Amino acid sequence: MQVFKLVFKVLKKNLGTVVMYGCIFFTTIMLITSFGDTSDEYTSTKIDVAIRDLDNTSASRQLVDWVSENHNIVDADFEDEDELLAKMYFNFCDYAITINEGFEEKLAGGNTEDLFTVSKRPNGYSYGTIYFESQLNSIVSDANAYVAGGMTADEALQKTVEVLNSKTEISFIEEKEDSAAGIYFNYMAYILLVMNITVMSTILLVVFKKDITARTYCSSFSQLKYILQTIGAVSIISVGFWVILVLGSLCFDSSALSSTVGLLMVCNSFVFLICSVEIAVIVSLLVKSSMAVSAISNIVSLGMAFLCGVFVPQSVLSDGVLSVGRFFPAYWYIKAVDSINGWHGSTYNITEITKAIGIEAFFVVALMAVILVIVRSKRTQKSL
Amino acid sequence: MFFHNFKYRLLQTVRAKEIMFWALGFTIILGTLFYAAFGNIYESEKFTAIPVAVVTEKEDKSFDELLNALSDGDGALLSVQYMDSSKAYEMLEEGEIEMAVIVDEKISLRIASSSDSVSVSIVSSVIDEYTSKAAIINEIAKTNPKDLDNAIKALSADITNAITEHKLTDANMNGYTDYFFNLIAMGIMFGSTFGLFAALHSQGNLSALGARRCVSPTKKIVSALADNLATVVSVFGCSVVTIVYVKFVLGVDLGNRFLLFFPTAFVASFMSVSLGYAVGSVGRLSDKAKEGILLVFTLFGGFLSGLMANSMRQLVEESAPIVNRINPAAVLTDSFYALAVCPNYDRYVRNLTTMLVMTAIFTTFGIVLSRRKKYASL
Repeated sequence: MQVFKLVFKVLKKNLGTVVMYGCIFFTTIMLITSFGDTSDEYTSTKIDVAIRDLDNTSASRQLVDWVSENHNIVDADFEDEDELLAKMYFNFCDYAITINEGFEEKLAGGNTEDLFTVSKRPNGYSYGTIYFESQLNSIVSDANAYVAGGMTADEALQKTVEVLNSKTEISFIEEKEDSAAGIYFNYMAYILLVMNITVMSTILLVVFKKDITARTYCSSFSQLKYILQTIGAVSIISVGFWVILVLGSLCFDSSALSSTVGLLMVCNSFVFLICSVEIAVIVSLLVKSSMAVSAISNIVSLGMAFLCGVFVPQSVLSDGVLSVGRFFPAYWYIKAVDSINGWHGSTYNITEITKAIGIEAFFVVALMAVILVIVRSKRTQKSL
Repeated sequence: MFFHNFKYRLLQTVRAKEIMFWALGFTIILGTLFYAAFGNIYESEKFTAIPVAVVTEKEDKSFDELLNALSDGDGALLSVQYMDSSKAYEMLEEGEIEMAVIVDEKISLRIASSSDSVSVSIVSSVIDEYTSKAAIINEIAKTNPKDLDNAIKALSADITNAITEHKLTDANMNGYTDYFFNLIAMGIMFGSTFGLFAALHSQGNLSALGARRCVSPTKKIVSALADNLATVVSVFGCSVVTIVYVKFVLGVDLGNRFLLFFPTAFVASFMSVSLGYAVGSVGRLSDKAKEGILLVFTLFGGFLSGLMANSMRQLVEESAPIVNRINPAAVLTDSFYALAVCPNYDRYVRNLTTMLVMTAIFTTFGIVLSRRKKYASL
């Protein structure tokens, strides 16, 4: 068991890296799940609005109340335009609205001109902004009609708000089995890649070292044993990482692994684990120094994460990027995750999920073929 | 002797493959990946007609007219298809449409779990508006019929003049550009490692080269100046390549004052190298420990300034603004942001002054710590 022990000895030296990546992964997921909206399920759209009431009348206060009940109010100093600009740039505020002086008076006289002064992101021609602006126009139009129908501005706004609060009935065609661990499995693609390439390649670099290989091949130690012990140790370590990561999903959703959705994600991640270990083996066969391993692990893992939709959803990536991404297993892993969770315009479709996992399995075979070709070409080299 | 030291320090930094990879190669690769991932993000946010199926259970001509008006022309809000309920639900399940509008006694919406929330909100607000207008007309017809005509006229009046827009800036407000500012800053901050090695190579107890230099007759101030200037030139050179790559190869909009990015990067290179020199000169810590300290400044500082999540800097600004004032990576990134986005120079000048003060502090610290060192034995 000398080779087997050697692998674990090298792992022990690299345990710090494993712990570091593990901590980064868990912290990131915790931040995303606690700050971000991880669910795609319909909720009435609320945008972030900074509001200033210069009129300060009963009518304007009713409007402020309506906005604060139906949208998120953001604190902002309207006098400090640099601060307001920064809030908009970083998406902390979608819309800044000032209710101009004379709002109630103008509304009472049927004059709708220049009631509000607004600031918004110039390229933020987004659905949320359109939605809010249409609501604002609707309020003015309805209040104006009530005033024309004989009401005071204050009464008109009160009636308008009442009417606006009776919403259209919305129902779902299916009940969705939702798993909060979805986001965890989404990011697992990156962590499996970076951990496997960094740790496994560093281990294998030592095991496949020219001098050690040459010494072992000319010793009485059987080559078969040498290879089998290496494969056994690497498999135990990689499956160990994977089991810890899968069990970690229970921290985010205690029922994550008992649902169909959870089991499908576990199955998907296992196939991807094999792909990532094979990539690590290829890296270790091709590079010569641990410095190069560190560089390649970052390039390969970040490259796949950005091009295949781990960090940014596939639905917002350009067609060009997606057509490149298709040639990597991470693309199909994320496609399966999206379909399993019904995310980003995908729907839960077992055929699509099976197809995506099947293509990942195809990558397992293809990468194995690449490994065999490299090993064969290395062994046929005349000199050791 | 100054130029001799300068030349060989320059050659040494350019030949340090590992540091050059992180300061230049990795920055360019990461920039390309950022571009691939974020290049299309605002395109996907731009408005396209929402695909909607309409299932008519009870005829409502006025609502049909409204839908036709909203789905007409190039900038149409909706893309409407009329069909029966089973076909509509099938298309909804397949994700081919966002929602089905059921026109019956009441108008309602049927959606899938994958339906986009904002699209659903827009269509529901259209329906809300239609039903509210009908309710208003009914109410006024009952309570004050003589003013009904005025109310109908008011409902159809053009109210687009109610909102006046006040533009805060004409600059590119794509928040994802901040990733590129962070990227350029990260490359420059990685340059602090060059400063660290300059300090390590001048200390006799930490490197063989340092020991040799300690016994040479060259004045320490001359070799320190030459070392630091050469490393600043290397770091600045890397940052110029990164800025040019981001601006001209990736085509990222860095604003109208993009030429000012270069002097900013030059000042930042001084700051970064002096930080590395100061850390390198601290006590008798091992070189690994010193590299660790710089990594905290570079990567953790980068994290706080928004390298991993672009809104992080603003989050820090709202909860602990002092951190943004003393974090070199945040100050540098914010300088690029101020140049590209802010209409005035106030924020930029504040950041530039902070960088100059930091450079002065780090340099003084480095010089004070590294002078008059004597070794009993090496």
